[in-house]
Amino acid sequence: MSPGTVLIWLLILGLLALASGGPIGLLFGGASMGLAYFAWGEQAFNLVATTAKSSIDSFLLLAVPLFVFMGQLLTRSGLGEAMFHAGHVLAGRLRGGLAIAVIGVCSLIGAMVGIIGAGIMTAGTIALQPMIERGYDRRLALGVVMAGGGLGILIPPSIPMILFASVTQTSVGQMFAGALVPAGIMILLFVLYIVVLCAVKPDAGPALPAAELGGLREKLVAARDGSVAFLLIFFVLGSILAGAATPTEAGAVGAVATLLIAILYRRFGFNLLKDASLESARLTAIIVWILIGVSVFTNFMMLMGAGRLLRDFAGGLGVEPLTVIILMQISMLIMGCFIDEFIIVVVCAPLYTPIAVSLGFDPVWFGILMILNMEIAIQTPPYGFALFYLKSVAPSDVRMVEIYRSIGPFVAIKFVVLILCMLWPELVTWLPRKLFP
Amino acid sequence: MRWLRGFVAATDWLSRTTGWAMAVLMPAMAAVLFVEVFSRYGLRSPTSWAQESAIFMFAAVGLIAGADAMRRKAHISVDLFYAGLSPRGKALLDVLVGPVVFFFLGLVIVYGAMAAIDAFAFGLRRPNEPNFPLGPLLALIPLGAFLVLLQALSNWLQQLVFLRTGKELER
Repeated sequence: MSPGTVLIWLLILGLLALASGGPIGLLFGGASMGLAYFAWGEQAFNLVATTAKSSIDSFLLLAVPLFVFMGQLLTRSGLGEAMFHAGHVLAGRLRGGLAIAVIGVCSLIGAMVGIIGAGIMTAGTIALQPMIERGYDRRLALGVVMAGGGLGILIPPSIPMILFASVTQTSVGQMFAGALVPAGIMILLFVLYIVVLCAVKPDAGPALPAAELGGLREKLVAARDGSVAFLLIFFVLGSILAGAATPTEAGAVGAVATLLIAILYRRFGFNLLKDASLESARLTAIIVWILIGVSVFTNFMMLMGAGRLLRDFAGGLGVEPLTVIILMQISMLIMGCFIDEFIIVVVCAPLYTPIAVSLGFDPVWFGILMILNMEIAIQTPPYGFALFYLKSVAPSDVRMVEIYRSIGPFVAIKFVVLILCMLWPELVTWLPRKLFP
Repeated sequence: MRWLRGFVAATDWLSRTTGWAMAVLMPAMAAVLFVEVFSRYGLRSPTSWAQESAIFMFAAVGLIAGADAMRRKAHISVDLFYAGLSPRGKALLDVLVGPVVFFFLGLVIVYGAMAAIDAFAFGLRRPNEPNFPLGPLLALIPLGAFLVLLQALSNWLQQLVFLRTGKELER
């Protein structure tokens, strides 16, 4: 078989694996090795052992279970609740205040965890019902929970960024730093949208009566709870960005600190530790097996010359370099309608990043664009993880169609941020260059 | 049917138990690295064993807890078409794709084991201090794949029974 034929078959088998509803990592691995046998014979199978080893033997990837564990502890410890209560008390008097509080608290949660689930689950469980009960526009309430929770992968630490850095040998510290300005712009635009919407349509997010919010004492308690979160973020993110600790070390410190906070809040118990540990062990294994199976698939694809083929194809188009970047992003956005964000990153990062670099672009900039694409992908129907997370915790009368309808303005804002970062790459590259000269 | 029921119960127990054992490693991993950070920045005398043992724990959790994730059918899949199928349709599809999963896990077991045996035979060591032997780390690869394979086989057999009899396997 010629390399071209093999690649076409690989694509077909990959699509079949996706359509089958089976475990994607393992199916991608099996399908690619089946083809590899026909192309190269038995020696192709050596790829399995080397890929499996590199998927576990990495100090960088060790950060994944630590941040997952930290996120699990955080969502189960009651710190999330305390933070939402703080946001509620402090911002409730504003029109749309509860929605702004969701964005604010989710940004803080995003700065402690690296996945989208934690923010959406916490905000969806704690903040959705109060918004709906107080007459908030349902679309706004649902949309804001998804948009806020989605920040988990854009605000560092971020598991997809760690995976990107790991498969492309990019500095994860630079990735984290590069995401900060775009994340800040996104948060600002979300808040601006809520403020403007509630000014134009006061019914969309009514202010809470003062009586409900309690007095000065309540506010002080709320401010204290909020500052605990700030402290945690200061230590975890601060130590990474200052170059004092590796993300892995920061993850360990963060996890232990979260445990201490849970003890402080009197939420610590055997069940908390048990549930958080079981769930994070499971999630870690899911990511590791995806990494093994999908990397076998992409490594085989690269060895068959997919990278060169794609580069030649891009070169043969005779278009501007930026157009090539846009085409790559369109392909990722289309994939994002059907495939999980972890898988897209593991497949596309090693395939696309060398092309972007050969066209003269910064790999950190391209990586952040990829993460911004994933920000959109998690919310786009029919298959976006944010949609399903929200459905699983929303009140039972919330229908899937309502969730689909709520995404519009927030996805539009995400596109705006994406376009800004493409037009002015400095928005991404300025901070990493400053921090890691 | 009786041996089948026994096999399903045994794999269930095995996946659950190994899942528990791996869960214990989560706080242990964080604690070990926390000690390392403390002794590196607090006491200015980095430990030599902490990073290496944490990597070993990460590998164990990532590989072995895969069986428990398989038991809970938690591995990421796209159920765009799958979700709309009847229970029978789902079972049929599961039975059809099962062999691809077995094939891959089989490769991981065989080639992972060969690499581990080589490492043991030649006494290979880890590149970083304190130069732990490489063999145990590599041995986790076939071990984890074997446990995942057992659970995948158990799930597959249950779907096969459903397809043949139209009833779930009684536990």
